[in-house]
Amino acid sequence: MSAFLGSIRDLPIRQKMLVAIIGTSMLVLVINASVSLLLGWNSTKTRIERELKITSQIYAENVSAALSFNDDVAAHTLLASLKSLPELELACVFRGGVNRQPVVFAEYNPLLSKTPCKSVGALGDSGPDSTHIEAISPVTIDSEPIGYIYLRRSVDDLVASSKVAGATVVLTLVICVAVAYGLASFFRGLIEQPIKRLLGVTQKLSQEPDLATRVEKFANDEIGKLFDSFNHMIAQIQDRDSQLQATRKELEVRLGEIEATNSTLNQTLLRLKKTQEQLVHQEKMASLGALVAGVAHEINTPIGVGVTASSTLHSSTEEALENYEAGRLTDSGLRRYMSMAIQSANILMTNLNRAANLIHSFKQVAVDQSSSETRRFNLYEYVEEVLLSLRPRLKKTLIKVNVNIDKSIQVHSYPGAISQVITNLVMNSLVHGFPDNQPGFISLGAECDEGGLITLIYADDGEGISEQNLRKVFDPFFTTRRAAGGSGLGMHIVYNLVTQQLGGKIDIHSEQGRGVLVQLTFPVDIRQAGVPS
Amino acid sequence: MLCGLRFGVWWLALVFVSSLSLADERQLETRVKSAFIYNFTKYLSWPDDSMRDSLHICVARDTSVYEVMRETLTSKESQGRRVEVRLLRSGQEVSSCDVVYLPRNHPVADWKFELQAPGIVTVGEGSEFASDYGVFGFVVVAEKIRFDINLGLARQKGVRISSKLLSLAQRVVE
Repeated sequence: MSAFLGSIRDLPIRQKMLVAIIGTSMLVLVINASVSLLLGWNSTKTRIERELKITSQIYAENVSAALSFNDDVAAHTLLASLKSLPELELACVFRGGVNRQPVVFAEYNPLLSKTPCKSVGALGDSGPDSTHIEAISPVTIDSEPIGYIYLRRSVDDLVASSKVAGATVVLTLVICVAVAYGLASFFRGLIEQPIKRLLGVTQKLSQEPDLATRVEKFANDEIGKLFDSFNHMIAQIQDRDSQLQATRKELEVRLGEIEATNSTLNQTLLRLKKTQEQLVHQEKMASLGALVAGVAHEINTPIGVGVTASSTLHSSTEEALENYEAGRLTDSGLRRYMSMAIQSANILMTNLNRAANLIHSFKQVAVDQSSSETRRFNLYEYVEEVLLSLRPRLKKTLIKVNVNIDKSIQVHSYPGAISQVITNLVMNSLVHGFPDNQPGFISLGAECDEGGLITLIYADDGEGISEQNLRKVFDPFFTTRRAAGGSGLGMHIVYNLVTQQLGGKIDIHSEQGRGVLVQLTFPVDIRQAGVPS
Repeated sequence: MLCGLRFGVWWLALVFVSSLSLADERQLETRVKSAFIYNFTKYLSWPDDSMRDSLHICVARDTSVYEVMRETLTSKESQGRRVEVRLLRSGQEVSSCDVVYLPRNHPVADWKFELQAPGIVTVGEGSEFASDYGVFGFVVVAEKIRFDINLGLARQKGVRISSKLLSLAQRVVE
């Protein structure tokens, strides 16, 4: 069944219709004809059997007198009248009771049958026979049985009429199939043609999409509605297509605008970076300026002392020379001059030494700050030198600086970066942590771990930084003192120096009113850390 | 069962009619004719006013025939009526009969008037009997006993005869 359906499924529609119409009509006809033939056969057979039974009863009634008077001639005459029934093959009248051997009394055998009455069994012996129909009726007189009559007829006429009916059915079937074929061919066109047209249009559309194409419909049936839906669908596709085009154009325009904005932004960014670089440079210069100012101030004292001592020595020497040329130079006076000279020389030496030391330190810091070379140095001494350069600023405040660094730590890194980081941190503490000349402490500590990392901790106990500002503290140009001349670059530079030049990282912890703690971690030897210079 | 047995005996008697001695032959003939008469009654219908509970078959004068017939037909029934065989000695008794059999050697001319009464079926011998005043007349054809019927007379007497019986008659007189 499924194989049959499968073979039907791929047939063209017209053949499907043909199969459906012809198959249905044939099936209906065959069922109808079979039922009517069967019913006809049965009813005809029943009718014939009834008629035969009635005939047998009539002849039993009529032959009863002949049988009772033993008039076989009359019985024969009576039976001979059966020739009006051409299908009757044999008629026998038996004399005798039910349970006695029947004796043939009269016989009608038009076909000279080979099975005459003698061979017919007793009443009720004959079984069902498809080629014959039999009937037996008792012959009675005064309701006493005196014999019986047996009638046998062929079913040839029934078979013949059934054959005629069958032939009629076959002929009808052929005619109906022919008519169904003709009708199917006619209706096929009505259904197949629109579908073919739709198919053609869809194929054309799929090859060259011309959305202005529409299908012209034939009728207002389901296929016509299908055409309408198809046309509606195409129209919708056309609409959407045009909307899509419009949107695309709009998008292109917007994309152009965005690109223009982007290039503007890029230019702005470039300008910004340039400005930033300029600002960073300015900051560096300002830092150097501060350094120079510090240097000048710091050197001023020993030089001043040296000048005083030298002028004192000068005047004392002139006075001693004057006395000597006048001959008034006494022994004690010489002695006094000598001690004063020694004292002055000592002062000079001490102060000039101090100045030389200061200059050396400043020179080192200045060189480090203005150059980006790595070198090996002692962290403690270097931090002390940096703090020394900051002394002119610190002197004016009530802030004590406490350095707690292992004096054995030797670092190979960028000293300029470290000096700038510390300078910026200290300056930030002075400006932001301790405004209005507050007293306070700054502490610097460092230690070196086994992994070759230096952890430098800078802390103050000043005002601290609010949580909101803490998040932005490393952002460039973020400052709370713009009005007071803050550039907002100090901590940004610190961040960049630590993370990029020193190859380390920086963490800052602070709470409003609780001071600041900055933790720097950087490799003890920048060469082994693999950070590019 | 009983009926079958009875009929067997009946037909056996008829079959052996021709192979017996003359006296026996005469007696058998009487028996056959008795059976015929008995069978006649089954195909006859009398006028309603002459119906009785029993069917009276009378034999005119002949005692021997009467004896045989009585022996043959005693305790039989026809159309629900018990059969009674009587011997007629005088014409006055005719009116009590339904069927009157007049044997061949018996003169019946002096009973002519009584026998014409309605409802009385007369059975006699010979074709002439049926032509004159008898309803049934026995004849012998090809050594077999047959009968003629005077249908006109039967109608006059108000007796109706079944067509089945008429179809068996040798001759039907209108």
